[in-house]
Amino acid sequence: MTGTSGNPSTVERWVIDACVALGLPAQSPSDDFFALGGTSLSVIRLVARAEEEFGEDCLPPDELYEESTVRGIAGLITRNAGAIAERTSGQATRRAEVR
Amino acid sequence: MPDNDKWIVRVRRAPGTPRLTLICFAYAGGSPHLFRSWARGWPADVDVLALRLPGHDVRRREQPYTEWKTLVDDVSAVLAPHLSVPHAFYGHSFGARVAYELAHRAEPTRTARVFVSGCRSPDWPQARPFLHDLTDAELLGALRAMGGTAPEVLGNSSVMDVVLPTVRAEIRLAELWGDAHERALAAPITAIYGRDDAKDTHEAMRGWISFGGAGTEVVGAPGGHFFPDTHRADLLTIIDARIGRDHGHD
Repeated sequence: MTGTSGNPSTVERWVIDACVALGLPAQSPSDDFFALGGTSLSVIRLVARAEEEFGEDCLPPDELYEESTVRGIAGLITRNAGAIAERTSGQATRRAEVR
Repeated sequence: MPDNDKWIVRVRRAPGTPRLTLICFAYAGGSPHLFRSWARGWPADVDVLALRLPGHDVRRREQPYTEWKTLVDDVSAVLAPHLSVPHAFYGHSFGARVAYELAHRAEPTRTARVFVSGCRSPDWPQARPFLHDLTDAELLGALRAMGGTAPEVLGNSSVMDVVLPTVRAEIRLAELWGDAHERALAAPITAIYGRDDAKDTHEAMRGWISFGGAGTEVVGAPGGHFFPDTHRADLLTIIDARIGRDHGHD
């Protein structure tokens, strides 16, 4: 699964960069989004960035509130983006079979 | 110390021993991180910290307070090391009420000044109907009408599911708060109203004049109820001028 949706440490790197772009001084995978200064508005902004990069619904806000370290957020994105990719490729396969 | 970290966001740390610690309290549902934008522009010897109550960001799994007494007991215990040295309080709306209540518990000679903004005086009647009794949908509508919360936050049900219980609990405390002390504060109060605030008007705030010690004043600032967000520089100028003045550093 992780093989198809990217190396987790790459996603962690992406989360760190996205936090920094939002003004949150993330440095390591163990940093917590809310301890860094994350607010409700920064949740929404991070989710928007993640969806732009990894696809819709890859980072549901309620899940972010449960798993708010950089590592946790990267894990959510990896899992959800992987599930989305699987669903999409499943649909593509079915469509191919119909043809 | 780790337990204190949970309660306190360090906005600005003076390099040496601080001359004064400014302790800040956000409005109902407001993140203590809102004060991070206050980090710059203070005299070098001023510490700035913000309180993080249960129900907020890293403490979002904890239940928000439902009683003033427990809130003030707990917070004054946590802040004790800062209350025995020179300090000032700043709070807006719900946070102003917290500031005023804590000032009643602090060592009187150590509180340089209490800044309260966007908050009726303790003897001014609370507007009815109470917001905290509204349904979730009605409360969201009221918050939208009030401004101060980004529309994209209010429009995201997944975020509001997490945030709204804390907002409601703190609005409830704010609405149920009133004049509960026999004596005025010894420390001076600066009560600051937004000149375009339809809720906490000059009329609703001028009563503060009789709740503080010598030097208590009521001053206007540009903006509406959320002027600390929209007109931050004006508010900081007011605070900064007085923090200097009260300590003879003009």
